[in-house]
Amino acid sequence: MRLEQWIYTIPLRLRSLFRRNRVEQELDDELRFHLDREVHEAAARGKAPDEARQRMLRDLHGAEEACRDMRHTNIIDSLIKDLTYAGRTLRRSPIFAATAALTLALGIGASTAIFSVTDAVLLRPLPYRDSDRLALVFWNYRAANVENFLYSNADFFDLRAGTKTIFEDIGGVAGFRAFVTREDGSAEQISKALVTTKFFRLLGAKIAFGRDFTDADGVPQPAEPGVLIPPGSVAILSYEYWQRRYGGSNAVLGQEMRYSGQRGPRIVGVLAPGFKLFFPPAARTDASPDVWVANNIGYDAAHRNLLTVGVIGRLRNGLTLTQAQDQLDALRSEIRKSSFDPTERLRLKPMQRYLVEEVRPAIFALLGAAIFLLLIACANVANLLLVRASLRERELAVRAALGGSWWRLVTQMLAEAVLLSSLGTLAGAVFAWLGIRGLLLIAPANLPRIESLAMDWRVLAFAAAAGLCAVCIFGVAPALRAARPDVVQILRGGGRTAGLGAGHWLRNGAVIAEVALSFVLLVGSGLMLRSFFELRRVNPGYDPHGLLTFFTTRDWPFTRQNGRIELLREIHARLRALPGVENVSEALALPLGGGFRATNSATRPQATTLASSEGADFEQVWSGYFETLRTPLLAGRTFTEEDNALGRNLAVIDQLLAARAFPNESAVRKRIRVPDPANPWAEVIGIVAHQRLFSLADPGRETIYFSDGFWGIGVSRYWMVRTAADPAKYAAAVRAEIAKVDRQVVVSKMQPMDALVDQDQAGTRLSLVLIGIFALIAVLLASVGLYGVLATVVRQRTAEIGVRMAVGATPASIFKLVVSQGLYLSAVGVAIGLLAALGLTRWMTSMLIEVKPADPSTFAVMTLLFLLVAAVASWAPAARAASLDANTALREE
Amino acid sequence: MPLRTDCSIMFSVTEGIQKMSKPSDLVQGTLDILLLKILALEPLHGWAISQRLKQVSANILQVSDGSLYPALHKLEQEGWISAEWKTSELGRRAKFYTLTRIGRRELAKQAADWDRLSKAISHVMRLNEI
Repeated sequence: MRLEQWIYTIPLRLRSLFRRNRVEQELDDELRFHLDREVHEAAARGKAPDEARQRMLRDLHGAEEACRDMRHTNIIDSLIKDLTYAGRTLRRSPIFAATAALTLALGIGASTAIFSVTDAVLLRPLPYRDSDRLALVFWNYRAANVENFLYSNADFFDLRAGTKTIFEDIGGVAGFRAFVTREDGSAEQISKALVTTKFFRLLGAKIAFGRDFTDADGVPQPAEPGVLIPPGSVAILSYEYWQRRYGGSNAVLGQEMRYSGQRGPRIVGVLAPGFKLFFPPAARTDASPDVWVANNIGYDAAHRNLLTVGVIGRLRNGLTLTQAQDQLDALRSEIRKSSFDPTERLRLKPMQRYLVEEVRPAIFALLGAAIFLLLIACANVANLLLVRASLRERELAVRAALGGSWWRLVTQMLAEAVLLSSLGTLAGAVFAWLGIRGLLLIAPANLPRIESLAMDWRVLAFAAAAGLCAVCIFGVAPALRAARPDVVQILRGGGRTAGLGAGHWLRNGAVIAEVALSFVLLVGSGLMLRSFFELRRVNPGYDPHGLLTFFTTRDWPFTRQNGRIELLREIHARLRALPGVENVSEALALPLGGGFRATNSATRPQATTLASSEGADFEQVWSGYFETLRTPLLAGRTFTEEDNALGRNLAVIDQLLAARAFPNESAVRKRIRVPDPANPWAEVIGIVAHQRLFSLADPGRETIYFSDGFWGIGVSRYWMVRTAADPAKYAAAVRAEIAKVDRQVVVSKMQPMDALVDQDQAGTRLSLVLIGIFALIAVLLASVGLYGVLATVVRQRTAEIGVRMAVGATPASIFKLVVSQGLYLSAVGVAIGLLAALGLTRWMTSMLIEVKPADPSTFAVMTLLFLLVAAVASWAPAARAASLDANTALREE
Repeated sequence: MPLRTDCSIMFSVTEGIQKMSKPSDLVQGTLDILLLKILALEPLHGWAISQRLKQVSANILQVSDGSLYPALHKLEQEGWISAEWKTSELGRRAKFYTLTRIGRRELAKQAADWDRLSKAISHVMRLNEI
């Protein structure tokens, strides 16, 4: 009904608006027709036509206006009129208009750009089917200090079978690397994921070509020692890999891949393009594996081989996360009594939240900062409007005196605000677009889904909403104020005292708000700056400067010992012999460079073994590792060349593990329990300073180091080369030397370690840069606002200043008067800002490094800094006031 | 004079203190239903509607022409009637109003309402007379 009515009414309304003359003409014609017809009738009946005409005119009196009222377009009409008028007034003061619009554009642009990040990273649902129902099932193992313990195949089946009331289905995924042989015989390293057979259905991934896995694909195959992929496995290729490697050929279906020189899985399908596995960087799971292989697992309680890193469940419909967690807690002991001990717990974490957990607080803090900037911009524009209104006081008073209605004056002032805000929003959208491009350049690479950052309709809608909110904030108060001028006072007093009226308080309020808001931002940027300095001052336990790092890997059977140590030794010797190379070593993992897993926790803690390395990170290193990284040796000795040999059960521990495992004695030459069923004990030969392995900002856990021969597995290693000059210059020589040793060795991730440090600091640097820019703009706006208020006051009180001078005030005292007023306003603002900052900076905690959110020195320094800025902003108006000539000032009206 | 009685009830109900001596002050809602009803028979221009109104109510409902046009324009803006310029009986172009489909529905609705109301009122009146 409603809709059908619009079909008739909307064209009419539009016609009334845009074909105004035509509609008016028709109204006139219609009434004229009636009149003529009446007169005609009268004449026909023999009555006097003139009399009929008179009567008719009387009758129709007011009908025309009443008909117009029926069009319901008066509001829009007057709105258009107001906007046109506002446009004219703004055109007459282009500097004011440009300043106000630009100020708003800064605020809207900044908040829109940061919103786009928030939207891309935090708000948009993951591109899976009903992704809000997907949750990771973590196996918390508190005794071992591990949040995400690995599942064995039997654990996985127990979990899936025992939680059918909670989950529609559960799937598992684990990422690996694999080698495939190219047609020319050279090796290619690919990323491979082992998944349970229903994994793609669980996430709602589409198969572009071929078929999905079936349950039959997951049936266990007879294991062969040393063969990672059991024969008879099937694989699904990623679309991208299919294109890159096979040129998108259909013939690929049914083909068998060659893995590490062995028969690999048979290809049965190709995924739709763009499918990604969204895990946070900390999970170290490749987002786009090239090949997905169906995991051949069965229920085998005897061989609980560790299976998978990520276990994802799809919650049943209607079940909230809390309910599901409660049910899971209740079921836990029943799922498999023998396999769960009381310190274990199954924790659900929504996939999206898991992905963004680390960056979430920082992004919200930045969004908050950007919105503060917007508020400051609004306060500043409100201030400008108030100043402007005070200059137009006379005009407005005259109009009010002539009978301009209050409402008309309000809408007229509002129209100006709306126009300014529209200009600001447009320019702000341009700023945001530039900002987004800039952010993409400097954003840390580990920010999840940052690649989807774009200026889309959601971002534009945010900009529009920001503009609308801005009008409400900066437009309404000045409009109400300006529309209620004190007519008598202004017209009689010539505006002399007008500045001391209510507008005065509004203006002061706007400035105080600006000062308070920008002070909060200033404190925030101060805290970020201190964090950044602290981060740069952090002693990570190694010296990253002058180190070249890279990763080597080679197709190498898992258990093959023959030639392993010789290969590593030869690479080592050749690199060491390069001119300018001071030291060379390698390890399973590289600080800040990845490769670490808390694999050490993969066994259950043994009761009451104090000297245990449970829960510590472990690292397997070549001799010379500590010397190359320049990690200080605190006691005992480090590994020697002889220790690289297989079967040396020796360990070096860091000071944290020494303090924990050997609290009251020297650890050197003591035995420590290690997580290896074959070699449960190792001898501690030395204690080194703690290394920050994952991040400079994260102190990390205790660490135990084994010599290369402890396990002696494979040849995939991170290398570090200490060089005399710029490490990047040695890259080519290093590659050439390794190629001389063995052409099958693949070298990747070649970069100076400084680059890793740089990446590690990228997040903090980005936050610092953003908050710093916001604070700078904010302080600038606040000082401009302060300047504006004082300048207006000086202008309006010129006569009063003249009187003061005439009765003996010195220029210095006038100067002091104005500056103290500026300082007074700032002091009030800073006081409010201090309280607000104390409450708000704790939201920054996740971004701060070694600094408390309520750091007193930062607060003190920023307060002083701000008052200094306020004094500078007050300088010019104060100087102008002091330089006034008493005679001219007195004569000024 | 049944119509006169009806009208008096109508006015007293809808306007409360409306006086019988001013029948031209037809309340808007009542005028709406009359106009819709008239246009339901055939498309007419404003003057013809005013004549028809006088005819059908035996000159009792003298709607002032000054309130007829705003009422017509209101109905047009509501979408209940639509207008078209056509040549009138005397050869001049005039604005003819036609009932639209939703106007027809509106008329049915208002007529039903009116029916209910007048039944209720005549019921009350009968009670008074006894």
